[in-house]
Amino acid sequence: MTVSEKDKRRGWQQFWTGIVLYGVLIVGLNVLSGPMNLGKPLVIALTFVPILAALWAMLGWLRAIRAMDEFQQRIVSESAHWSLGITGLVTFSYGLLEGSADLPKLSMLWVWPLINVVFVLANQFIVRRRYR
Amino acid sequence: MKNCLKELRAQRGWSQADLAARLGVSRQTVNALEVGKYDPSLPLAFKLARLFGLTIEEIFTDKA
Repeated sequence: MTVSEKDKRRGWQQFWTGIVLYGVLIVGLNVLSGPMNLGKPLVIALTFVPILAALWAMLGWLRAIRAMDEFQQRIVSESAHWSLGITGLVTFSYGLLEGSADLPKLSMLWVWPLINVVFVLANQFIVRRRYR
Repeated sequence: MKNCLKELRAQRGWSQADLAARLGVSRQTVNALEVGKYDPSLPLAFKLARLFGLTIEEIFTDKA
């Protein structure tokens, strides 16, 4: 219930450190693994390395949320539910259309960015507006 | 629920930020409480009651 600004700040610091590290590792590993002609098992293993940074970021995000007060937690929770619902509906519907309407196949890489974009839009234009 | 938080706060000359600091919540939370857009949890309602020296029922009333 209490707002712990210090904990929240540390949580966000951890989150952004993890995100930046994740980006650096993704780009770095792609640049390095291309010319090195590594075997498939090693490429798969290396692909999982950045996930550790993403997990670190996720733990930071959770730490920041736990330090929020109850109303702020509700805002985040409702935004996350909007994001979960809309992303689920869009990706599932598109998956069905890929088969039935022969739409181009899209990479699953787009799911995570879509989750984030919908979260931000729902947070700013639906949830916060509702409680204003 | 209706509440008289805005009046209670004004009587003491506190800003929303002052009340938020005393409660350990954000100013946005105090604003949402005052405009009746958010009903507090029981622990926060007790905290408010203790802070103003009133009972929860004296601060919050059911709209029905």
